[in-house]
Order: sequence, then C-alpha cells, then structure tokens
Amino acid sequence: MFRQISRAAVLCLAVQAALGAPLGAQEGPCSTAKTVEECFEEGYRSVSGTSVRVMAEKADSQVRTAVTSSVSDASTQGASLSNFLSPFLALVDSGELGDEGERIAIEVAAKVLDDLDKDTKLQVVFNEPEIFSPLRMRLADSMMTATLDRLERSVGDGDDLTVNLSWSPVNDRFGRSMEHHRPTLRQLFEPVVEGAFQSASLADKRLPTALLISLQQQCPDPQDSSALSFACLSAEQRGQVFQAGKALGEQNETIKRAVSDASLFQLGKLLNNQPQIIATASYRARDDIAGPDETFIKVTYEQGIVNLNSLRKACSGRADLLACYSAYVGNEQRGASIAAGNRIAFSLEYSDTADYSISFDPIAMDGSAFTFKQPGARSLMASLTYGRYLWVRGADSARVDLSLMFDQVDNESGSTSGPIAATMRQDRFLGSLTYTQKLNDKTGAVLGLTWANKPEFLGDVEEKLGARAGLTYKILGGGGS
Amino acid sequence: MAENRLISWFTVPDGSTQRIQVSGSDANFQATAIEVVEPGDSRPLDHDVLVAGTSQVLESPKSYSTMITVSFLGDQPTTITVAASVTKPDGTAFGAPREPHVVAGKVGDQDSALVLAATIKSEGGN
Repeated sequence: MFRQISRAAVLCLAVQAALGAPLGAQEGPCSTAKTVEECFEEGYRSVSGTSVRVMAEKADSQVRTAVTSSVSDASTQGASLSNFLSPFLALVDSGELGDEGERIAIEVAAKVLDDLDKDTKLQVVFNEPEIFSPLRMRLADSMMTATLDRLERSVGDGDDLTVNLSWSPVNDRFGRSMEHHRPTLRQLFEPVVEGAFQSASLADKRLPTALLISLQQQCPDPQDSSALSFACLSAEQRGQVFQAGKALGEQNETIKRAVSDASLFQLGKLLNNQPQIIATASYRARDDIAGPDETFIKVTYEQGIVNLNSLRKACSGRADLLACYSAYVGNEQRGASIAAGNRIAFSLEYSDTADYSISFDPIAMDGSAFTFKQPGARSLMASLTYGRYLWVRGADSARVDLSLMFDQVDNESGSTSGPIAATMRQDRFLGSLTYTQKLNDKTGAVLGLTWANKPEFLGDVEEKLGARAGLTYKILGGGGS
Repeated sequence: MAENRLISWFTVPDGSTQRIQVSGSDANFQATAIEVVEPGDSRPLDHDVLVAGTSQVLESPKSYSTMITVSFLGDQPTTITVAASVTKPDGTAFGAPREPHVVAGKVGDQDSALVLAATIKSEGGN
C-alpha cells in the first residue's frame, strides 16, 4: 500500500517534469543569482522533514568527534556503560570516578607501549613522584626536616609508575561496534531501501536527464554545477532544477518512511544493548619513599535485555531476515523493553595496597633508628545494577536505577611503628535507588536514596533520613548540587 | 554557501574515472546507493563498497547518476561525508576540486545526495 502510493506520487512528479509542465517554473523560487547547486538544495529542502535540522547539529557533532577518550577509558565502547553507571557511582561515593580523575591529573607522561590487539590495551603511566604523604607528615611531626629535604631530592622519574592493562572484546557477540554487524544490516536494509529506490526509478532517470540536456545545450562550456549560474537557463528550466532537488528530497522521505516502517532505526538500540565486558587491571609500583605498591582489578559486564544477539538467536535459520526482524521487534513486550532501555550490569572490583615499612639509619632526634610502618588494605566489591527508562520524549527522559553493592574491606590494624597486628574485616551492604531526570542533552537532575547496613558507611548525603538511609540530589550540567 | 548535495561534472572526457566515497565520524550509519547509467543499466552499491570507495570509468556519450542515501542509527550525532572526484584519462583532475557533502544526524534521520557525471558534449562545446 505504502509503495503504491509512493510510486503514484513520484510518477506524477516525473511526468510533470518530463512534459515541461509549468508547475516547476511557478514553484521554483530559484533566482538567476543562484547556482544550479544552490537551487537544487532549495528544491531538496522544500520537502518537509529533510535534513535542515541535522545540518544545525553539525558543529556540535564535530566538537564531540574532536574529543579524545581519556587514557583511563578501557575503550570508547565503554562510554555507554559509564553513562549508565555514573549516577549510581556518584551517589554511593565509591570513589571510582574521583580516583580516575586524580590519576589523570597527576600524570606527567603516558606512553602506550603496545596495542596487543584491538581489544587489549597496555599502557604505562609515569606519575609525578612525591614522598609518601603519611611518611612526609610523620617526618615533619618528628622535626626531621633535613631528612625530609634529602628525601625530596632523592625522588626521581620512574619512582612512581602505573601499568594499566585493559581488555574489552568487540566482535559480533560483545561490544558495540556496528562494523561487526554489517552483514546483518545489509540483509535488513537492502530490500527496504532498494524497494524505495525502485518505486522512484522513473523520476531518478528522467529528472537528471532533463537537467543535463538543458545545461549542456544552452550553457557555455559548463564543467560543474557549483560555478554554473542560472543566467543561461529559462525560468522553466530553473524550475526543472528545483524539481530535481525536490524529487531527491521526496525520495529521501520515501526511504526514511520505509526504513522507519520496517523499524530499522531500532537497530542502533539493539546494538547499544549488546553485552559488554570491560576488564581492567593496574599495578602501581612505587619506590619505598613514594609509597606502597597497589594492585587494582575490575571486571564489568553490562547488557540490555533485547539485543542483536537475541535477535540472531530468534531468527537463526530464517531465510527472510527482514520479516523475522519486524516480527521480533514488533512484539509488544520486546518493543516495550527496547523503549524502556532495560539493562543490567554487574561489576567485581578488587584492590590491594601492600604493607608499607621503611627504616632509616639512626638519624632521629634521639639517635634511634627511624621506622615508619603502615598496614596494607584489601577490598573486594561486587555490585549489581538494574536500570530502565520510565519514559522518553525527545531529549527529555526519566530513568530509574536500582543497585545493590557488597563491599568487604580487610584492614590490618597496627601502629605505625610497631609490628603489624591482626586483620580487621568489615563487610558492608549498600543499596541505592536513583532517579535521573534528563531535560536535554546537557542538563538534568539526579535524585537518589541510599541505604547502608551500617550507618558509618552511608557516605555523603544531603539529607539524612535515618541512621542508615540518606537522600542525595544533584543538578547535572548546572554547576553542582 | 553551497551545500554540495548535488556534486556534478558536465562535458567530462571519455575514459575519465569518477570516484565516490562515503565516510562517517563513527560506524553508526548505513549507506546505500544506486548508480543509474543512461543509456545503460543501474546497479546498487552497498555500504561496504561506498565506505571503501568506488570508482567508475566514464564512457561517452552517457550520464552517470549515483543517488546515495544514508540512514543514521546512533543516539549521538554522526557526521557523514560524501566525497567525489573525476580524474581525466591522463590522471589529472577534471574541473575544480569539489567540496564534499557533509551532514550530521542521529537515529531517525535520513539524508541523500546526488553525484552526477555526464560525458555528453554540448553542441559546439569541447
């Protein structure tokens, strides 16, 4: 039905143009001061819904493109996961985002040693070496300024470096690169777009030909339409150029409707719901003066409920992929899930700070040997998050994220000068419910409820609702909370 | 300012080569094209061919119309560039260098461009 209507409309336009009907001359507003190219564009834009709006976004897009990913990103594919988890992380104050920022800030130089493969990145960061802060304070407290000065002079490049290793597989099952799904896209788009092309085939062939004949027979030595003015063409012929642009605009709208009717614009959402794994490990090696060594490992898994993997599984062995796809995304429940952006995320994080111990020759005030010790710490954190949109209206949207986090911290108790004593283990549970109201691409608000099984782990909240619960609110992009 | 949605060359010498390439700031788009040769046939050009770049030797007297359409699929804006050129048989460029058609869009947007090359000589032309 749709194609019959489209064909009839385009055929009507083609016949009018081919017969030299005066419609184009009357309708075409192109003046003789314009070039053929400008008149063609005017005709194209006369069709409602064509790309006037998207041209306005060009500058914004170019800015986005120019922004390079930070050295701490596992991959650009990680961006969507970061976007998804950031409100939760901000509220439970796990410290991850802050740590990331500080690490970048203290970088002096970073050298990517090697890209082992496309999914793996290895990096060495040379941090600016400083005396271990607790040691500095202890020396200052002990009035050992000469020793402090000597240590200040002795630290040098290479005394504090971090080795980062990240792995994020990007293939047809994991990650969010469209390139790995191009055969599927081709199978889906070809019948839709080519069908739309064919329905407009007569106009495609006749309008450019009419334009060419006019231009080449009457205009002096034309080479391209960018420099060609309309002085050599009649008003009727100017109308034909306008109509040629309009025909392309109408064809564009025909294709857009066909792609939309086949739900192919949903493919981006299915891609964005693909499972994503990001694994990172880092080891910070420091000279004794600069502090204890640190190990950090984190594995994150995230996926949406309806994705390209589930589509592939549902349509396996089906010859007509387009029909299967339409039925799959047209299902009421799946359609609702896609619209809601249902997704789950799981992360596991382990960190280990080594025991710290340093001794100096008998240079203390009383002539005794100086010893400074600090017990190490280990923590294991697991989190499970579920999130979905409540509604989306253009750039305006509201989503809710529910998270549960378990954190186990082993602190080895002991004095800073005596032997390291027994380990103290602290387990805690944190739960959070986050409501994010996005008003446009740059501004929004976050409202969160946080619960902790132990009051001391509640973290920073704006309002304390009880011993173990708190309320957090932030204005995104509006300059703070 | 010219929008370059129509990229065209007229009175192109026989045996010249036309090149068309579509590129994006990211991969979140699907490009499709159809090339119509008059007199002659038409052929579809799929995404991979357009992104890799396609070339066509132009015969006289014919016209070559390539209609390129791009479906935007990403939530964030993607910038698409449609670049085309014509090289004469001796390897030198035909006509002045042409600015590419550049457009940005995001999911739900559709854009089209027309690349036109004609080897038909006008009466009394070169």
